[in-house]
Amino acid sequence: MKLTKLIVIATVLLLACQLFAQTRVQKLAAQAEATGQLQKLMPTSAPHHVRSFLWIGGGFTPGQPPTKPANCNKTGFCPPSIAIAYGTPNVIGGNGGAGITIGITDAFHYAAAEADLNFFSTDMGLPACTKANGCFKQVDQNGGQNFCGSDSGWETETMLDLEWAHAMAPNAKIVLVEGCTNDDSDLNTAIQTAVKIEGANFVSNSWGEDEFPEETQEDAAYVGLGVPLLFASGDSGAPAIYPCQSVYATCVGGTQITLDANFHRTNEVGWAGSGGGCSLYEAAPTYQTSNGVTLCSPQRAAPDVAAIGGSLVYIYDSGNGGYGRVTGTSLATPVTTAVLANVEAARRSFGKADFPQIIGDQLYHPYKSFNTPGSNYTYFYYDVITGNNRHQAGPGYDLVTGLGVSYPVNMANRFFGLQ
Amino acid sequence: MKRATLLVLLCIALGASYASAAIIGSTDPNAFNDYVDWCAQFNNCQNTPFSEPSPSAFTSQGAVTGLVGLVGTQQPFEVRQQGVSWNGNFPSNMGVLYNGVGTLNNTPTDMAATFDQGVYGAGAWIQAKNFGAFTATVTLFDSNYQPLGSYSAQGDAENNGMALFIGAYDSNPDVYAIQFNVKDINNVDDFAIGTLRLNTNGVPEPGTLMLLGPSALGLLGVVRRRMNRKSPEVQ
Repeated sequence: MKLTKLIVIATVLLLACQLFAQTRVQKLAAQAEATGQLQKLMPTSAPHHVRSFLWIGGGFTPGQPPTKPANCNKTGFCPPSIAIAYGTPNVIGGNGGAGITIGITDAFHYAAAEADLNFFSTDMGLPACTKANGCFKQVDQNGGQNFCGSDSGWETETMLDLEWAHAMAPNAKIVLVEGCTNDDSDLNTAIQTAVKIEGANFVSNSWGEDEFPEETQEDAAYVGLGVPLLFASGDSGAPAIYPCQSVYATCVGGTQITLDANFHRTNEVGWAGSGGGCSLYEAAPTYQTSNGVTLCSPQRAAPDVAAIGGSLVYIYDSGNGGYGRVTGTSLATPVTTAVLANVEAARRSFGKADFPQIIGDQLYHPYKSFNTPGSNYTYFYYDVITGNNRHQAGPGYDLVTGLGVSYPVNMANRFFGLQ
Repeated sequence: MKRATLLVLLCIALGASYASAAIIGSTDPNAFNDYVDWCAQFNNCQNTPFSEPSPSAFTSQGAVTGLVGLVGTQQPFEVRQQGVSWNGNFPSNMGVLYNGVGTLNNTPTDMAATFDQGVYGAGAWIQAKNFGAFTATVTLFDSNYQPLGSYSAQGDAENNGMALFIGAYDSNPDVYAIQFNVKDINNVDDFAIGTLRLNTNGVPEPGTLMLLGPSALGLLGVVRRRMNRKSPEVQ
């Protein structure tokens, strides 16, 4: 009886101490915030845990035989439906992204990544993408083979990224760079490795976190990499998240698409979950302001572009039970990356230069003449005019789908394509 | 008999190899059977000049569809009309597309047309904006938008109704785009094109025609020799 009494007293005292400490920290933080000293209390080097932007829509039933979904394109899209809808096989000179290396960063290690990618490829009629044929490479965040632990959620994210990048650019090489953890510092290291060591021409990043005051300092991790870095805009509607809001990133929002029996697009609308909005901390880049996107000025507006990211697609993830249906801006990001890989391959075939890191200059330029008789904006983009993520989509640039969904055939055109 | 057959085969082989050679340039609009009238495409040339986006869609008289516009820039081009809003030497009232260097402050750049189906060749009347001598060049492209070849001709930009026509064609309907370039007296790419002409029927090349002669002669020889041989048997 006495012992119980002691335990109760000790517990109450402990809780009281915790409450006092918590209140004290909050009070200090509030004081610091009021006096502009917040940075001193929060070390800028502290890692932030990022999350992937993935919605599970069913499937993934452990114990079931791993057969191709019988209801492909009815309950979830399978390749090549979205490639046909977006026209990537028709990009003159695109050749499925041949010659281009797509970097994909994800957190933790998935040992069956290569096997799952090829199970999916075989089932879906895509070319094999293996380490043996030089198409696929899997490295740790430093470019080696010292992999860290696994995480079942991130492995699904990884397979979505790999399988749909491959579906949209079947001849591109893919290098998967795995951050040791989901700390942003690890994943930023993975981005650096993808570009500097593995030679990626684009890096697809389906992760992020809420904006924070020091994010403009964290932008230093992205400066000078020289290739486009694509980030997911988030899956909770407005606002958009970071690093998507970085001026050094290309921010990708999500749409819901409707296709006819021949996989031709009949409609595409902004997804309610698509992250978007005005940045709290990032200033509007000149590629927005000089081309007529001043919706958030003097702050950056996001997303930049959009792609399927609210309609379900099938992926294969043996670690979570095989085939399942997923969506989110985690889908839109590798899809858009692969679309641009097709465009870049075409540009190379015509002797044009690769896209720079700040691809916003190219992406936004067609918008400069929006609403004028000479505008060719709709030649480059499918203008998504409906949808609401707390912001309303409409004609031209909006905070749900940005500029809209790319027309890769036109973006890649030798004569009339992106500059 | 055998020697004659060999002669025929040799002639045909020579003809075929010659036909697959580089593109043939032409300054004759009649070598191109189809056409795109820009006035018919763009508002019947009402209230010219006006701007159109690069690229803009067109449909030829013979139903070939495609795009036309400025190359490597997203600036619009201008639609004008000879004698109305263009003081040059295109045929009277012809609709012309101007690259807008002098009026829209566009970057000097080439113009191009792409075709949704392969044609044998294409060309257009062409004139530099600045009066004086100029060099026009057309380049044809295949279905992968890789160059098939180029052809250049000299023009003189005046207002005498004698505009240069420049075009080129191939022996196969493998032409999917044509690009126009002009270097005027100031070495600037500042020009307009008139009606676009397309060849959708195929044009017998002079070289092929020349080789068809020996082929025919060879065939004739074979026939005559066979007749001569057979004649005695009949008797």
